[in-house]
Amino acid sequence: MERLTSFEALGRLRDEINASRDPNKPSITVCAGTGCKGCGADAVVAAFKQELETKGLNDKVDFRETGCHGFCERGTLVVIRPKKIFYQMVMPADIPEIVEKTVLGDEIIDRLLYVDPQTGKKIEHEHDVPFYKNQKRIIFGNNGVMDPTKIDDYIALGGYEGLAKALSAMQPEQIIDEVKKSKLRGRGGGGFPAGRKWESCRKAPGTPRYVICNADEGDPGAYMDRSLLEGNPHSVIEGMIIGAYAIGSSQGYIYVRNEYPLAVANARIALDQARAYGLLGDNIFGTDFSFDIQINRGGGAFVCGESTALMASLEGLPGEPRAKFIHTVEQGLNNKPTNLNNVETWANVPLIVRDGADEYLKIGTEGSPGTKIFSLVGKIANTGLVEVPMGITLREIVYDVGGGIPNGKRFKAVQTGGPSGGCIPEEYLDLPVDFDKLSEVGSMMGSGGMIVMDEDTCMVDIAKYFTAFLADESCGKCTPCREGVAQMRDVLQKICDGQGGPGDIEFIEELAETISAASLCALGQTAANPVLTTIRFFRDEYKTHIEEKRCPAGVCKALITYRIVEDKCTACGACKRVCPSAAIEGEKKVVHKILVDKCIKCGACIESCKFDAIVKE
Amino acid sequence: MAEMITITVNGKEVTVAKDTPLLEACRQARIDIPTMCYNENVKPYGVCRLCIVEVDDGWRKRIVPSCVYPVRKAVTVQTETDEIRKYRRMLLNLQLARCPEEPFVKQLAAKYGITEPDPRLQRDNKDCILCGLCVRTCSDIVGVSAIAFQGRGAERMVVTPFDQENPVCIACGACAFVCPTQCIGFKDENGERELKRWHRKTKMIACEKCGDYWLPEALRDVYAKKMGLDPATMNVCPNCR
Repeated sequence: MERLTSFEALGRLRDEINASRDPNKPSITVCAGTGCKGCGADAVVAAFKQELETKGLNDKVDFRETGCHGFCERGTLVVIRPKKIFYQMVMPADIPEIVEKTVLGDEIIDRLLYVDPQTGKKIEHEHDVPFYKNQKRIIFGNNGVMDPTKIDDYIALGGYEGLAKALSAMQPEQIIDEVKKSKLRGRGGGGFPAGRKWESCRKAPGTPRYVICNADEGDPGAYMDRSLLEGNPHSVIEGMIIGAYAIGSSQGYIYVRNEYPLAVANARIALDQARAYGLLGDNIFGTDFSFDIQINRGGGAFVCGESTALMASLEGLPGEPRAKFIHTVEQGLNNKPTNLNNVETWANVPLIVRDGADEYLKIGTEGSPGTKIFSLVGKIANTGLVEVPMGITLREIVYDVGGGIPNGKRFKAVQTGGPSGGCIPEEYLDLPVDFDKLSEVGSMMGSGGMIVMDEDTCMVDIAKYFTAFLADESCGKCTPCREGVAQMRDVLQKICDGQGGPGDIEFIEELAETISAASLCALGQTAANPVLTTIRFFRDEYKTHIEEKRCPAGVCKALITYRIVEDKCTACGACKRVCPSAAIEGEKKVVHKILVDKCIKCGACIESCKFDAIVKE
Repeated sequence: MAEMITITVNGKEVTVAKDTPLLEACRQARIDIPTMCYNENVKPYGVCRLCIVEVDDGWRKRIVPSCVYPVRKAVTVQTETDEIRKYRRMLLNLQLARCPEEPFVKQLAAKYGITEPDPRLQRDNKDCILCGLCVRTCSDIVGVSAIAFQGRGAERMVVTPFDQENPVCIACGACAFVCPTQCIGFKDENGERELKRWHRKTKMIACEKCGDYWLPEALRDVYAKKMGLDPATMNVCPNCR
């Protein structure tokens, strides 16, 4: 690789790469993001490589392992170009047929196509699948067409042009103005205007200044930052270089958790390749501007996603937050001016600079322009990562993109913003999703976790789950978070165990308010959100647990019993066979009975019964 | 001269140097604010949260811990609103549930009308409130960092590394001195000083003149070096000098 010593050199390189590529040449892309790897993508990749090798097709067919395409529910995903045929749930055994029929021939394999559950129609192209059709993938879209370990793939798609424009045609202040104009807001959760943050950091006295990419994503069920760093690390790096130039920084850090090995590996490769092209290091593009990035791996503490705790961790201290009355843009890492943004925020920057703020403002709402990537998980048909314009309604995300609730169940609530977000009930499904609207209903954008719950979800149990998570992850530095969250968990546990008493709800509310008001950092300040929103929207469910000792959703084990409905039981013995605690008695032709004392409420009997003869009450 | 700023606390005006912690400013105005983790000789840490007050900076009202809030603007402060008293009561409830037998906690809680922790709270029986004064004194003032926090969340505790005797500890006893619950403590006996909590036992020097054991050896060695003194100058106790 030759260093790019001028802005023109980047354009020449891009043209060369594109000229060397035949758009009509057959190409195979396999999603090898973490979700698809979980579905066996590595075996699919190996099978493709072997097939191409044995058939001597290595020169005739391009093969690409890409990052996450988002539709994790249907992995492993494969797209065959130039016709963009979209295959889902591909297994290694399918590979010879795919190569033979679709890559070399013109035939489409019906059984690998996605079937639209609404219409029953088979869909050939990725962009026609409702899951993709209703998204706006300006940040995440390139994941599907590039190999994250090849910088040339990124450059071919117009990568680093934003950086070239910034360095060649813009003063640092102009870049900050452009980012301010774009109204880009921090995607890590707070939604603070990025341009204002950059400006404060640039104006803060003291050198050196630092820029940090916060890739310490830790919410249960959230993995958008991970997939972005895995699938398109250069977009994050380019954003950071532009930010560093605007702020006046020469050193950057990517703080990424070590549980994300692929993200660490791909970011490392990307940094090496960017250095080799002279896009990082001394005299970038032959200018006076020098900047480099170091990767720091976090040990997996949730609290290290908080900016001051992250900086403490970077300094080699325990990851504990500190008061932020003096902002980190003034005194952050090593007490120097530091600008920290989240992975997704950085990935937005190249677009804003390259295409201009006016273009960016066309997407999203007035207060929150652009898109947001959510990880849509839980009781939802299409589990995966979705990128949607801000302002889209929750209903559109859950039903149009997410495909609704599986198994004909009813929607109950959606938890946004990760463990410290709130549960939003059905009545707010038409709420447009942006930073401000979510806060208004007591939840938050957070980093973009979205957990969908159906009628079988107990809201007290959910509140207990998130509270327990936060009690575990509290660093323990300040009293309200350390003592308060753990105590709140214990009171919720008692309610789930049927030991709740009068006044418990009011006590939890008072405790929750104290934790919110008095905690040191955002972890504690938001820790009460799941509890407060579930009490706000599902107070009756709490009351039923406490007053009637009943769990309407049938989740809290202490509050449910299993019973066999005599009219329906055929005495087949299926339940008796699967019961692990010998709690079912009955003979052939004699209606079975569950011995309540012995029953451990595991639910195996319900699953085994073909006649719906067992009920949970 | 440092820039001076006049703030209003509970209607009283007080003028302090810029960046003075708000708690100090309030105390200058003779307004009492409860604290557990504060000591004017140690850098504030802001963890007990009892010193929360309401600050109105003209733009918004918010609740802040006064010990770590630097005075930078002419703010208006309220230290005893109903809301703040309510939060303090809950915080004291939580500390009392953690340390129901500690006189220091009991006294402070009693000031807010709490004699027993709320029955809904799980009672523990700890003697340490995790204020961190010992840890901060050891690192910031004594400069040896013999003790530190270990564990996260409810597991958090102050220990020596691996909870074993730490040779770095000079047995100065400053940790015991600052501890508000007096749960550290040390004993001088038979020419030795023992800090049981830290598993530390060290020899003491006898005064060359009166023969009283007056200073741990390790303390003499470390501080003689730090201050560039001949260790022999410390072989005589202050009373005999």
